[in-house]
Amino acid sequence: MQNALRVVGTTATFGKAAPASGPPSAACGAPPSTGGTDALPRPGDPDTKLIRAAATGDTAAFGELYARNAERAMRVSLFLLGSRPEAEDAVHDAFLRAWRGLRSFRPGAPFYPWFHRILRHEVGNRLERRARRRVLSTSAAGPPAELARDAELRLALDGLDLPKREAVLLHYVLGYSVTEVARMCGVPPGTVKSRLRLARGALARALGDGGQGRERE
Amino acid sequence: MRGKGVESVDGEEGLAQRLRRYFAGIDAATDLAASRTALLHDIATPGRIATRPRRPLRWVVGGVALALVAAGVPVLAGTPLGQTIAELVRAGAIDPGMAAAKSGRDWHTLNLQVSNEGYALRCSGYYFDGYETVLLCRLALPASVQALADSSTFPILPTLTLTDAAGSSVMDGTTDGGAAGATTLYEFRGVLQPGPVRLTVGANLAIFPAAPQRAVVLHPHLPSAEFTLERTAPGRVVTVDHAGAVSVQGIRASVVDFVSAPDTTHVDITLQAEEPALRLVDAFNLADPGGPLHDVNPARGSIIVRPTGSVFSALFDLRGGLLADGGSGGGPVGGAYRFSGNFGAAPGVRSFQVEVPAMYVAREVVLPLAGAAASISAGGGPSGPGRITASPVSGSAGTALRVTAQGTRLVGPFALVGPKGTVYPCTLVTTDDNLEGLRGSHGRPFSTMSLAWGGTATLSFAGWPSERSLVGAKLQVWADALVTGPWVIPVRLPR
Repeated sequence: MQNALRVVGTTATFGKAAPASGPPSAACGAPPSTGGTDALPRPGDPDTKLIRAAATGDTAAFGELYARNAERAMRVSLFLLGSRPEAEDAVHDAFLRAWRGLRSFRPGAPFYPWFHRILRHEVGNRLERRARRRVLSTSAAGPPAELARDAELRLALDGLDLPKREAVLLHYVLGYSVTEVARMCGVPPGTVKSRLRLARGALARALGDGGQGRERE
Repeated sequence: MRGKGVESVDGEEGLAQRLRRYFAGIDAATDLAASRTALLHDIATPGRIATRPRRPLRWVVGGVALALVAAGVPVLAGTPLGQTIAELVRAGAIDPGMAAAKSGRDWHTLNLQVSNEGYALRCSGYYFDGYETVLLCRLALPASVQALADSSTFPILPTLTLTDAAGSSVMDGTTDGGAAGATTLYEFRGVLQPGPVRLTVGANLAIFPAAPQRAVVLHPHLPSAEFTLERTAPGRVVTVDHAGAVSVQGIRASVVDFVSAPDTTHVDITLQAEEPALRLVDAFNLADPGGPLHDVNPARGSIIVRPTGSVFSALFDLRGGLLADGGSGGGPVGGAYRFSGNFGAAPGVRSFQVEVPAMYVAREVVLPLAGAAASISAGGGPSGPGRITASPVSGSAGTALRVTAQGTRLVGPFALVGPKGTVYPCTLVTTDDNLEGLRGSHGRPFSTMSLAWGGTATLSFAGWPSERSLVGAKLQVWADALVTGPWVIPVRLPR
C-alpha cells in the first residue's frame, strides 16, 4: 500500500512514497505509517538506542545520530530553503538545539518528527531573516546546480510560504500521512489538508499545467 | 489503487513524482566528518552558540531579472526583482548605472579610475537611495594580495575616505566587507553634501588571512581624485520618543533613545546578556569610543546598526554599507554595552537591525584540581577549541596556581573554592605574558585582569595553607567563547 493513492477526508492525496533518499534511518526515515496513525519506532531502532545514550551525555552517540540523519536533514533543509549555506547553518543549529533539548524527547518516539520541528524552526527563522533583508528567494537560493535541475519547480516552490512548502514536503515527498504532518506541524489535520490543497493549486498555476503537474525534463 | 472520490489523480501523481524526483536529486552532499566535528565541538563547549564558520549567502543570477534589465523594462528598486537586480549589480553582471537608471534612481556617472602598486579602483558613479548616498566602486587587488584574500576566512575590509573642498571628512567610506576572499564590487555609503569632493583611496585595507589576531593591514597608497557631488534628495522629519526591545540569542537589545530630524538621526541602543552566566565581552571596541564603528574586527566583535523596513527598500541590500559614521558611545552601562550613533538624515526610519558579526561571551568554567596539573577544554576561538590548564606551584611566596589559556581567553573575576566550600580571594602575583585589558598588577584583584589568547599567568590565593590542600578545590574562571555571527537583532520602533 505504500504507493497507493488514498483519500484523506475529501482531499485526494498523492501516493505515499518511501523516503526519497537519505540514509536508511529508521527514525528520520522511518517508513511513514499508513493513514493517520503514529509513526512508531521499530523495536531495536538504532536511533532509539543512540538517543537514549545521547540523552545521558554521550556525545559520541549523538555524533552517530547526526551522521545517520544529517544528509536527510540537509536535503529537507535545502528543499525548504533553497539555499545551501542557509540550509547547512539550519541543520547545524537544529542539531545543536536537539542536543540541548534531548531531555524533552519522549522516550520511544521516532526521532525525525521531533527533530523536524526543531529544524523547521531554524528554517523559519532564516526565511524570516531573509524576508527582513528583502532578498528575493531566488536570489538567495542555492548554487546554480540547485536551480538548473528543475528551475521551474524550484521557483514554484519558492512561491509557497513555509507552511505550504513544508506540508508538500512532508506529505507528498516524505510520505507522511496528513495526521502525522499535522502532529509534526502542530496544527489540526484540516489545516494540513487546506495547505496541501492550496499548495497544489499554487504549484499548478506556477507550473502552468492546470493542475496536472506534468514533468518537464 | 485509486481511492473513492479522487479527482485528477493522474496529474497530481505526476506532480508528486516530480516533487519526489526533485527532492531525490538535491545534492545534499556535505563534508560530514567536518560538520560532525564542528557540531560536537560546539556541543562540548559550554556557552558556545555556534562556531561553525558561517559562509556568506551565495546568490544566483536570476535570468528573468537580467532579461528585464537588458530589455530596458523599468523595475522598482524596492521590489523583490529590484533586489535581485541589486544582487546582479553587486556581482558585476549588470552595469550599476544602468541598473540604477532602470530602478528610477537619479544615477550620477563618475567613471573615475585610479591605480597604483597593483591596486586599481574604479568608481562608476553614485546615487541617493532615499536615505544616504551610495558610491559604487570596484576594487581590484594585486595578485599576491588577492591570493591572500582568497585564503582568508574573514572578509576584506577596505575603506575609503572622502573629504570636502576644505579637507574635512564628509564620509567614512566603508563597505559591506564583501565575501570572504575575492570581492569585486564595493559600495561606499554615507551622507555626502553637494559640492567638490576629494576621493582618497586605499586609506586602509585589512585582510585577515586566517585568524583575526593575525590581521594584515595594507596601505596601498593609491592616488586621490576629485569630483563634484551633485545635489541629492533631502530627508523627511520623523520623531520617535520611546523605544522597544528585543532579544536574540540571549542578548537583549533595547533602544534607549531615538530621534530623527531632517539632518540627523540619532539612535541609542544597549545590549545586555540575559543570562547571569553569560557576559558580553568586548562587544565592540571600547578602547576607541567614538571611533568609526565600521572598524569591524572579528577578533573583538563589533556592532553594526542598519535600517530595515520598506521605507529603505531602495537600499541595494542590507548586508552592506553602514550608516554613516555611527560610533560606539562609551563603555558598559549597567553591565550592558551601549551603542550610540548618528546616522545623518534618515527619512521615515522605523526600525533597525543590530547586527553582531562576532562577539565573545563568557561562561563559568569549573576547574577541578587534584593537587597536580589539571586541564579542561573550555571556550574556544577561531583557531579551534580552547583549553585551560592549571598547575599548583609552591614557592617562597606561598602557594600559587599557574594558569595557562590556550586557544581561549580568560577574564575575571576569578574565585578559588576549597573542598569545603571556602572561597579564597585570588590575586595576581606575576604576569607572564599576553595580559590585556587593564593588566592586573601585583596584588590587584583578578576582576581587573584578562588573559589573552594563548597567554599564561600565575595566580596566588591568599590564606591558602599548602599545595596539598589544593586537592579537590575548584577554580572558577570565565572562558571566552567566540560566537560567530552574524546575528541580526531587529529593533522595531513604536509608531
